[in-house]
Amino acid sequence: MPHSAKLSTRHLLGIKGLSPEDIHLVLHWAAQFKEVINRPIKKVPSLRDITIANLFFENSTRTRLSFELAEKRLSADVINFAASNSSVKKGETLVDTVNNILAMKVDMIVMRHSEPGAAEFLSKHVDAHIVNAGDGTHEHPTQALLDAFSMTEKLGTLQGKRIVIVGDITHSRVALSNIYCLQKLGAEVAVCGPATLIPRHIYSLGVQVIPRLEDALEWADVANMLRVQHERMDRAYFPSIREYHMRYGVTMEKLRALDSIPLILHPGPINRGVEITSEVADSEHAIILDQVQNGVAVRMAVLYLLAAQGKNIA
Amino acid sequence: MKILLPHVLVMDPKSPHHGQTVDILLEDDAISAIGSNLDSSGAEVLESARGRLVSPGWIDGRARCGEPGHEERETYRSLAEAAAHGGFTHIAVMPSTSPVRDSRPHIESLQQSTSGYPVEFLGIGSVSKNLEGEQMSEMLDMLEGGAVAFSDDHASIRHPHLLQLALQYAADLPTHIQSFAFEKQLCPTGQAHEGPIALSQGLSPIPSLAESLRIQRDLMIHAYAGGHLHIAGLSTAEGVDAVRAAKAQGQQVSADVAIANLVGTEADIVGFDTTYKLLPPLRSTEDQEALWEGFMDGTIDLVVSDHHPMDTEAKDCEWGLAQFGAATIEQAFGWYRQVNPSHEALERWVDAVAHQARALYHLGDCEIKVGMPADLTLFALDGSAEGQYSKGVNVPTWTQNGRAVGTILGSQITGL
Repeated sequence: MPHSAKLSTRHLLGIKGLSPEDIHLVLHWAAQFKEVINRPIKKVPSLRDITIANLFFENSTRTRLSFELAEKRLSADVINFAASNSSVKKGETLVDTVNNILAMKVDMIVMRHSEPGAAEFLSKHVDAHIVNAGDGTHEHPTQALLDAFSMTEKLGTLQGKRIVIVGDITHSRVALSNIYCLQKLGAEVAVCGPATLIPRHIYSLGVQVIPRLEDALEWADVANMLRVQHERMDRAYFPSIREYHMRYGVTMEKLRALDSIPLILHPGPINRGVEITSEVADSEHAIILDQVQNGVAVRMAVLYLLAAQGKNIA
Repeated sequence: MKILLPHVLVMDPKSPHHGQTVDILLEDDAISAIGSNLDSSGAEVLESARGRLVSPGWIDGRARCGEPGHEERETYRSLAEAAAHGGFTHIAVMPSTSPVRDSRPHIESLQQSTSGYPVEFLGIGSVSKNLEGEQMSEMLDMLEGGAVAFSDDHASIRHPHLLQLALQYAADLPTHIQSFAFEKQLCPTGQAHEGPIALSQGLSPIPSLAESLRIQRDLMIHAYAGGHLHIAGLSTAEGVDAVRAAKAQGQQVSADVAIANLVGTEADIVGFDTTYKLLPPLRSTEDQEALWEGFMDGTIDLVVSDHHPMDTEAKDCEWGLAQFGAATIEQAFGWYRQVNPSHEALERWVDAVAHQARALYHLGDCEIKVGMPADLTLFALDGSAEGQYSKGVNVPTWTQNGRAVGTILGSQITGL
């Protein structure tokens, strides 16, 4: 991978708009930055003089911390903004809010927002680079990139690998970004979950549906377990947590019955005893904490590559 | 006042002059002569009409005005100018204003405020007081005050008993009840047509079932209650099939389609352009084809603008926060022609907006014939509407292939 290679886009709005080369480029740099953050001195000066605003219009802990850490490891100047203590609550529009922040000479915006398309909307109205840190039920591209990076660390190339995404597909931004990302890397993707939480037109994405969890786990090289998004549901899409766990929760018992046990991922935060038991989450099959560490490296790669488009960066 | 339209091509399937190029003489707000080389002495000759097509004045069966309540989106004046620019001499306006047009004084106020305009406003009153879906509005009083029909617009008629009562109550009156067939309970957070595009954009889906389920309910209530039911804004193949079956059974049912659903599809929402966030939503190409088939075979009686002008704040924002609707009254004909430039479609357009609409609203006949009112639209089969009179910022950018050139309503002449 030549060091001069650049992304084909000036924003990271979603995985859908990326080329496979873009994804490989991010994964290549993520590996470099993972090495950096495991050094005794974890910081590099790559984004010195770059100011990044983290705008979180929706609650998030791990994504916000992960971005902030990635930015600081790259020596960027960082400001944080959360909707709960902002002028948004006073009726200010998104564009006005962001333009006010950009007036303070900010170079990049990392944004989490509850509305699908919010990042794309913003990218049409402001000059700064935009990184989508999750827009409603649409995309969460850095999560998909860190999932892909974590899988490749364990499995090598994802070409021809079978990956099943389990759980609430309808209300998940992780699912859509994962599907696009994994397919662009050559993997075969399936989904598994209650029919009430599988979008009707999921086949249009070239994804197969495996109704039974046991069959899905048998089929898969990797199982990506999604969190049940209670907060995005306007009513109960299944009768009870207990019944959900019975049908779609991964247990050691279900894993031991398989010919080969798939790698288990979870984007977090985990509902222990719902999607996955503690025993599985803490087992050698799960790489949940690897994902968290890789999240910082992948986000460093994304920020670095976007910033590199505008300036000469060391 | 005498006016001569020289050398115009009559496009009116009901007229004995259909397909002929003639001169038309207007006198005292009526057509006084039609023929070749008419004597123009004493008449004002409208040279800008020469070579254009002429039909009875077009009627927009369903449009919205911001006034009263949202004058920043559209005023009576701007809507009248936009409608005339689009070729319409009459527009039926929905009651979903603020306050709601739910009593006779509101209907009379509309008429007083718009008298003297080159476009006649037809007031549609609400079915229920304040669009709340509970108490019936005073429909008879509104009808005597000039209302032409009743609708709860997008608030829809949620309660089946209210629809039954409204149909029964209005059954012996020269009017009809409009129902916007949309079962919101099926998709309370719906943002776009349920299909591959909504899925790929993470938008909460509006299934076709939300329309067909409500149409089936409405048709069953109508079969029981009688009266005249008008299904407003068909958007799905299933909806067209249901109306076709009801008509075959002899039910007194009519239906319309919004121009946007004949022209656009779900593909238009790629990139989250909120101009194309509509209700009913833009649906699949299969739905679009079924709508055209239903329109051409008469299952769908009317095409309407479904004009819904918005201001910047209502549209230039995140998709989920943007209002539904597009400003469509000025370009409707050009878009229609671009999608289907056939002669049959042209005749069907005139049949729908000139004749079916007049029948629906009990406005009396209007044909290109001596003795008929001077109520005419002149138009061209090429070019596109230039400029914009609507205050709406939400005008789709579909390609146009045709435009209205001018209108004549009594002594009021626009565009010529």
